[in-house]
Amino acid sequence: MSEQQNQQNPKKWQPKEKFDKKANKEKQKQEQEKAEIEKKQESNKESNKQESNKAVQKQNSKVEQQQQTNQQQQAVNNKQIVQIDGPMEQNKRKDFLSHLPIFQDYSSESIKSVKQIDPQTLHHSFIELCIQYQNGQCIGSTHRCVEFLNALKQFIKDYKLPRQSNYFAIAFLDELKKIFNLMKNFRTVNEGMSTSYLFINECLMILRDTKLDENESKIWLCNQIDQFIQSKIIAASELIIKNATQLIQEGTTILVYARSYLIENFIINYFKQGKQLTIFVVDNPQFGEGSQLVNRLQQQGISCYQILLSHVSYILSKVDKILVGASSMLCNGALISRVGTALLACLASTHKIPFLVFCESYKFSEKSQIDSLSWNEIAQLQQENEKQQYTSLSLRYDITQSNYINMIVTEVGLIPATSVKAVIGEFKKYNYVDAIEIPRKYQQ
Amino acid sequence: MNSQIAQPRLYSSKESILALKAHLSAKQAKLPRNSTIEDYIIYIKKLSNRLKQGPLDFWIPNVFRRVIQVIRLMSSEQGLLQIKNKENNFKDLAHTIQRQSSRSKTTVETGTETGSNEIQQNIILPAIEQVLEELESHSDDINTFASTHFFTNEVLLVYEYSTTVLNFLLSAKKTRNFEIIVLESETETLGKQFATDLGKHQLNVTLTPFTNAYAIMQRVNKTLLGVDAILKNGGLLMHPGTYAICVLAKQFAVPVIVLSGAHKLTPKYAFDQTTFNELVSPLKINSNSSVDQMSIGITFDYVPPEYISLYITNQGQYTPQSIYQLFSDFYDVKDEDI
Repeated sequence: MSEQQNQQNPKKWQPKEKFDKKANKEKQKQEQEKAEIEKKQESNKESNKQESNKAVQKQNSKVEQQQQTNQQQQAVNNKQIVQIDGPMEQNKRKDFLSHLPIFQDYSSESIKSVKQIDPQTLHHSFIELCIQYQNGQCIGSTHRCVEFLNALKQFIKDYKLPRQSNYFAIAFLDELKKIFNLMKNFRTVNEGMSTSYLFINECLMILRDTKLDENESKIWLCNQIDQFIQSKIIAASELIIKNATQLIQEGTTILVYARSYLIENFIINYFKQGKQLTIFVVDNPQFGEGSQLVNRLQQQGISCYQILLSHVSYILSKVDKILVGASSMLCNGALISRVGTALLACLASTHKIPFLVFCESYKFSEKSQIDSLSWNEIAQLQQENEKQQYTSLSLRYDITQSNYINMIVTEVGLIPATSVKAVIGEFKKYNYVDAIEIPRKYQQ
Repeated sequence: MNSQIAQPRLYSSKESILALKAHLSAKQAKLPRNSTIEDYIIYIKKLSNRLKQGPLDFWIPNVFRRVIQVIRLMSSEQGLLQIKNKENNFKDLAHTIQRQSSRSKTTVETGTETGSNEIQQNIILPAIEQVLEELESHSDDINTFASTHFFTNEVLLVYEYSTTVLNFLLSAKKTRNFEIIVLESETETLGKQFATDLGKHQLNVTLTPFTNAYAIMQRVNKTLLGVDAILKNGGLLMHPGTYAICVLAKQFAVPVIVLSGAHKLTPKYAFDQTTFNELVSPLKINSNSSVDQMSIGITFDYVPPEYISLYITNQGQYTPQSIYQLFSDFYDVKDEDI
């Protein structure tokens, strides 16, 4: 009987386990000290139960050990849930979405207190960044990536080599891995951040073969990061805007969903050239991105119409083109973007309206995904259902299939959705940016 | 008619019929001395025009059309269609009707009646009673089909609040086990209310915002919708967002079942989203809207008949291609322009 319970329970606790191993180490230490005493008592009771079951059921000793560790982890988890006072929704995730990660909210105070005790947790710039991710102050794939790289530069400047290793590159590789893994506990890492991580890895490999000392390595690495931002994000966006301006004639009616860095700059640029557009902005009140875009456009003196996603059917007959930003483009041609994009794409294909995606090439990914539920992120809703007569569900991302996408506007040109794989292959040859200059000792 | 009120459309239909009853019994009723059936019919049409709350109010004219149709049917049964020249003592008429309406709602009593009271007592009032009864019991008739369309452990999708769907699910719960996903529109709280009402009855309910519709649709087996008006070509008018859901459902080959009482049948035709629609105040959508950032909000969504699999009404089950038959039974062609 207890065996069956153990087999069922580990499945429920999986997201919690990943989370507990890597997250706030200090919190765990403090609570484990308190829990250890009680844990011992409990494990004694459980081992007694185990022995009696063994006698009755004649089990393998290995299976028993696994069950013991599971039960101990359960005991720890139980304690931590009670002490952390986390949202109760974590325990009641529906079966069909129990595989998706749920992130617990951290308050800045708890993280700062942790940092004072144990200086080996995240650097303060990353902690601030992660809190911003959680609050929703820093959303949008480009924004998050750029902020991450800025925080990383700050970290590089403050980083001091431990005495044991002489080589900056090797030590930093490990540090980078640690940081990346810790950050995954706050929000999932998006594709742009993964590409930049791979790029920095490549740089560090090159650095390892040279003989620069610590300061010069740091300076060179920071320069490389700047170059990455400059060429892959800023210069790319200029090229994309140039490409897109050829596509969209003056006076067309466009529909935009949520807020994309590229599309925002494109519209502002278009109006600065003196041309006119009719703009409909579809708002997503849950994330508030549509209204942010509208405010930003208003500051630039551009007027637009605001509409909700459920009311979109009314104006679809009047719209010429639909423009959408991307979080990443997948190898099978699918688009990962803000939730609701797929619905818009479906409606667009029914009404035969061109559906354009604006995406820089650093967001191209080698993964493939078919439907929105196999991997996604659950967004924490601000209002929790008090009586809990129903479970609420709110996703962050959406998969739009390649047959709905008419064209992707990138800095390498205008490509169909199916060519993503070819573009990735090309970039792999060139270290994701271009050939990286090998640093020399005399460079400053 | 505000779409923001969580009241069934039934409410306005019922109230208007009760108002008709009250009008007929009141002393201020402006009926000519020798009232015939046609006079009553004209009177009822005028009353519906007065009570109607705008060109997009379908429910009040529908119910009055139904009353007129029942009057016609009853009078053709009794052969009383062309009766004239009966004495009409108006005060007696008023007294007897007041006495009757104060007793009970059901049958007509043959108390003291003068000659022309017969028309009113034998035809008009019973007609009104019949229509009222149809309105009140429509849910029970629909629920007879409750378990015939579901299999075990299905996942159903519903959108915003609908009392018809609520009753249907509660009666289906007795024989089937299923899971419900409620889609919530962005501005209104009706979705949450629906989820709590369903959850009170121990149903497995999930609430999602409207934007997640595509992600969720993969998991859904059937869609159940309430409706605001069923049009004569088989299309329907409903809360904004329904068109998007129906398009998605067709993509995923999910059947769309529409539940409604027959009082929603509207003998009109629509072509696109703008035929029967109204823009709502921008401030309701977004309180920050101004001239530069105008918010657009609409009242209805038109869904063409190709997206719907089945209509379940209290008069039976129909496909969109065959629901016109119900119109010819339910209404008369002469009354379509009320």
